[in-house]
Amino acid sequence: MHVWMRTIYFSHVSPAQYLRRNAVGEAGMDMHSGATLIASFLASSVECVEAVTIVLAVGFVRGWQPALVGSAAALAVLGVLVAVVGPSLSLIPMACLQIAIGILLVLFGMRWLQKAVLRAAGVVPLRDEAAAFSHETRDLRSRDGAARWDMIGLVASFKAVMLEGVEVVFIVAALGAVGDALIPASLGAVAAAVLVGLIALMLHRPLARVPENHLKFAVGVMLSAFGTYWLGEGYGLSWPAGDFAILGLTAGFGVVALVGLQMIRQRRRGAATVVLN
Amino acid sequence: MQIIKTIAREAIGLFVVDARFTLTLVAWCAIAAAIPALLPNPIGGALVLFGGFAAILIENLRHAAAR
Repeated sequence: MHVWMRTIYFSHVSPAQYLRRNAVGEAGMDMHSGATLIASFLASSVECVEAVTIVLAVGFVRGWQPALVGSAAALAVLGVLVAVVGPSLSLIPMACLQIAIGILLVLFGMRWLQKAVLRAAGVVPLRDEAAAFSHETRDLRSRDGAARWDMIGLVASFKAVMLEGVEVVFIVAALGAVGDALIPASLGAVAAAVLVGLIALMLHRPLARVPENHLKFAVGVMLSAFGTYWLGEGYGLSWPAGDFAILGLTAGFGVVALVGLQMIRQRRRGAATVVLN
Repeated sequence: MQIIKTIAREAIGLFVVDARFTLTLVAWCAIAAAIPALLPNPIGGALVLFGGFAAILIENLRHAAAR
């Protein structure tokens, strides 16, 4: 019932329209929800890993009280942000929302994809969670903190969760609001946060072995596919195979990114050969 | 105040890192509004929309690798 109400609330359809559409395109809807859940889970995992690295550093160096209070405060602000942004999205006409979300998802997804390809090709260095953790702990140790409330630790923790959380909120809102998929998008993000949090609690060290660039590559491909799909929908383009076009777009962006990666590797190999000669 | 500035900068940074890349993508998004009118064939329209983004990505990667 709750899912049904939320879906109708965000998609501007009457209950009768919703039921008719579900009866006709149930397979498409399931595919869409599944793809949204996976995209949201993967994207949120990357952001959660980055936030957890800083929170752990704060916890180890400045104590767990400022680390947890800062994180909780950031989560509260993010909750307010979701409460404000979510309902206001339903006021925007669907076509405008599809175009706006489509453009933002394309910009966001293509940026991740570009960075992931450049990192995989060795043009840009890979992100190293262990190095980020060492850098953060060094920085936190160098600061004085004799006050009763450790504001340095609290602010560092708040900032990390807030900055990464804003990205998660955007991903959930963008993937969920236009595709009747707010529930799977939210579930994906919550599952990622819980999983990353539990693993960090068990390991008690940064999650340095997560294949972050592979995740970014996959998420970049998926978000670019979703963005292109929604942009086309907003412009009135009728996609062949309906919702299943997202799978085709995902495959297409994946192939293009791999071609780009091979192209850069060949160029770099060629340049290295010229230097050696 | 510093935190708000940092968050605002990060929020813009979600979408804009390479200005040339972002501007080209936005320009293609604007041009693509005409696709359904110019190409009523759904498969043709879909391929052109996707092809534009694919070409922009490849060109940006080529440019970034050459820098």
